Amino acid sequence: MRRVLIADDSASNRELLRTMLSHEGWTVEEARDGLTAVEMATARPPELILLDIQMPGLNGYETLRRLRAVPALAGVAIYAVTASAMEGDEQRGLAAGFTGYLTKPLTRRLLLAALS
Amino acid sequence: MFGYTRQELIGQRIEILTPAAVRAGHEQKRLGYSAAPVTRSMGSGSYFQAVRKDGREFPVEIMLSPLQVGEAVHTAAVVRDVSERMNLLAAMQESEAQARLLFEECPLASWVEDPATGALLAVNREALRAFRVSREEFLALGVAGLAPLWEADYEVRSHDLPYLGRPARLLVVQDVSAQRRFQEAIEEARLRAEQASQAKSEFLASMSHELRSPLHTIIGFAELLADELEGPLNDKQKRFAAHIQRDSQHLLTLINDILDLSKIEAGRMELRVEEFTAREWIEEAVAMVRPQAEAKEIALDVQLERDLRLAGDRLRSKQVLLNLLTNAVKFTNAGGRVAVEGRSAGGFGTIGVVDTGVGVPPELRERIFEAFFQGLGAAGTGLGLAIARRLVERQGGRIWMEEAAGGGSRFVFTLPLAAAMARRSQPLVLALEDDPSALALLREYLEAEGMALVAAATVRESLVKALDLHPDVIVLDLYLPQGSGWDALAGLKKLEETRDIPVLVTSVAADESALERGAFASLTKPVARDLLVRTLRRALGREEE
Repeated sequence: MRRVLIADDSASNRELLRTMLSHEGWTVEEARDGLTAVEMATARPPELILLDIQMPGLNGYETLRRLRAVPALAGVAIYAVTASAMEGDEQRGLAAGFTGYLTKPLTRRLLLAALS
Repeated sequence: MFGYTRQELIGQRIEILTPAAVRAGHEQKRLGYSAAPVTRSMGSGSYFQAVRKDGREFPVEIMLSPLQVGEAVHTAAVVRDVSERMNLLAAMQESEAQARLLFEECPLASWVEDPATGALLAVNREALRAFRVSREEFLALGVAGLAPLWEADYEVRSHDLPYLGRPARLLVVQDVSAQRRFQEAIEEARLRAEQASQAKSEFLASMSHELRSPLHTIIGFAELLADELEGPLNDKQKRFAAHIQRDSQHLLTLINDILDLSKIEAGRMELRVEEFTAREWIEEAVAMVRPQAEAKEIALDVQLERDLRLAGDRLRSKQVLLNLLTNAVKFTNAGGRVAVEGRSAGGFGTIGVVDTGVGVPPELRERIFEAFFQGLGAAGTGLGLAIARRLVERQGGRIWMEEAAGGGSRFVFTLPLAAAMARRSQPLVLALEDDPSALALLREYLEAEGMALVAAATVRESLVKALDLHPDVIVLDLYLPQGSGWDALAGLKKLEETRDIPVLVTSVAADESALERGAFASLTKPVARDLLVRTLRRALGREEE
C-alpha cells in the first residue's frame, strides 16, 4: 500500500483529505503539527507528504526545510495544501522547494489530478 | 591754520585762538603750566577746539614744551589741525554703528564668543528673544552656560573673525524646528500611507485565508457526500448535498470577486501587459462556457477580423470576456444564440458579446456596472461587471452595454491593439483631462482626424497609461484639481519609455516654460480646432510642409 503523511492542525481537513485519499488506495498517516510530521516521516518515510502552511509551532515552510534535510526523504514528493492563495504565494512555495502547491478549497478531483 | 597774518597775531594773548566759551579757563591753566613746565601734550592727549579768525572752530591737538631762552622760560606750543582725523574717526564710528545695527537687528539670533575662554562677547536682540534672557544674563552665561538653553532645533553657522582685536567666533543660529516638524510630518504621513496600504494587503491575505479554510472542508465534504463514496444517499439527501455544493461554490466565487475588487481598489492588482492573438484567447473563453450553452441549446458563434492582435493582460482580459459570456448564456433563453465579435477600430480592438436574451432597460445600462447591482434578478455575485469595468479601464479601454439588433444585449469592451496593428491603423492620443465635456470635444476632433483617444483623469493614471500603451502623442491639461500636469510632464520626460513621446500642454494661460521642460508645444485654452489639429499632425510628423 502506498503511504501518505498529512500534516494539518485542522481535524476536519485531516479527515477530508484522509477520506479522499483512502478511497484511492492510500494508507493515510496524520500529524497535527510540523514537528510530529518530521518525526513520523523520519522514522518511516512515506511516499507522499501533504503539508498545511499555517500551523502552530513549525509552519509548513519550516517543516519542509527540516524534511528536505533528512537524507532518507530525498525524492519524496511534498505538497503544500493551503488556503494561502494570494498572488505570489504559489511562486514562493515552489521556490521554497515544494513539489506542488495546492490551494484550498481543494476538491477531490483537483487533488487526484494533481497527484496523478 | 588760524587765518591770521603774523603781524595780527604777534603781541596777542594766546586766548585769541580759543573759543570764547573756554577762554577764561584756558588762562587759568596756562598760568598753572608756566609754574611747572614739562613737555607734554595739552590736556593729556585730548582734542581741543580752536577758533579761526573768521570764527569757525576746528579740532586741534596741542603739544607743549618749555623753551629756555636765556634766563626766561617760554612755552613752545605745536598745534596740529586734526579735523581730518576727526572726520575719519566719525566715519569709522558711523560705520561701526551701522555694523552694530546690522548685527543687533539681524533677524537671526547671533552672538560673538571667545573660543579660547568660552566667554560671550556680544549678543544681538534676536538671540535674547530666542533664549528669553536679558543682555546681561546672556553675557554672564558663557558658552558653557548657554548650552542647556538650546531648546529648539537650531541650525548653526559659525565664522571665525577678529573682534576687538582678539580672535573670536561669530555664531549665527536659525530655529529650524518648524521646518523639521514639517518634514517629519510629511515623512510620517508617507509612512502611514505605506503602512495602511501594507495593512490592507495583509488584511486581504488574512481574510482570504480565513474564509477559504472552512469553505474548503464544506466544499470537500459536500463533494464526498454527493459522490456517495461513503454509501448511497436517497434523492432528498442528494438534493441537499447538491444545494451545499452549489451555494458553497457561489460563496467561493463571491470571495474571489471581493478580493479582486479590493485588490483593484487598493491599487494592488498588477497587470501584465503583453501582446496576444485574439482568436485563441476568445476560443479559450468560449470553450469554458460551452457546457452551459450546450445544456441550454444555445448556439455559440465567433466572428473575428483576421489577425486581430491585442495588447493587455491576457488573463485578466479573459476574465472580462468570460464574465460577459457567462452573463450572456445565463440571460439567453434556451435555443437562443450568443456571438463574440472582434474587430479593430481607432487604435483599439473592439470585442462585443451579443446575445438574443431579454436585454437591459436603458435606464439600467450604466447601473449594471456598479458593485452589487442585482436589479436583473439573476443569481450572481453582482461584482462581475464592476470588476470587468475596472479591469478594462485600467488597461486603457472602455466597456459599455447597448441594445443588439433584435432586442438582445450587446456588451462591448475595447483593448488597445498590438503595436504593429495600431501603427497600421490609427495614431493613439493620450489625454490627461478631467473635464468630461472638454474630453468629449477632443474625442470629436480626433475622430474626425482618424486619431484614437485614451483619457486619463489623474497624473498617476496618465503615467501608467503612457507606459502601458505607448501612445503616439500626449495632451496634458496643466491645471487639474488633483496634482498638476507639470508633474505628469516631468514624469513623462524622466521615464525612458515615454521620454520620446511628443507632449502637447494646454492651459488657460500660455506658458512657454513648458517648452523648456520638454513639451512639444504649449497651447492656450480654449484651443481652436484648427490649431490643435495642426499641432497634433506636426507632433505625429504628418504635417504637410
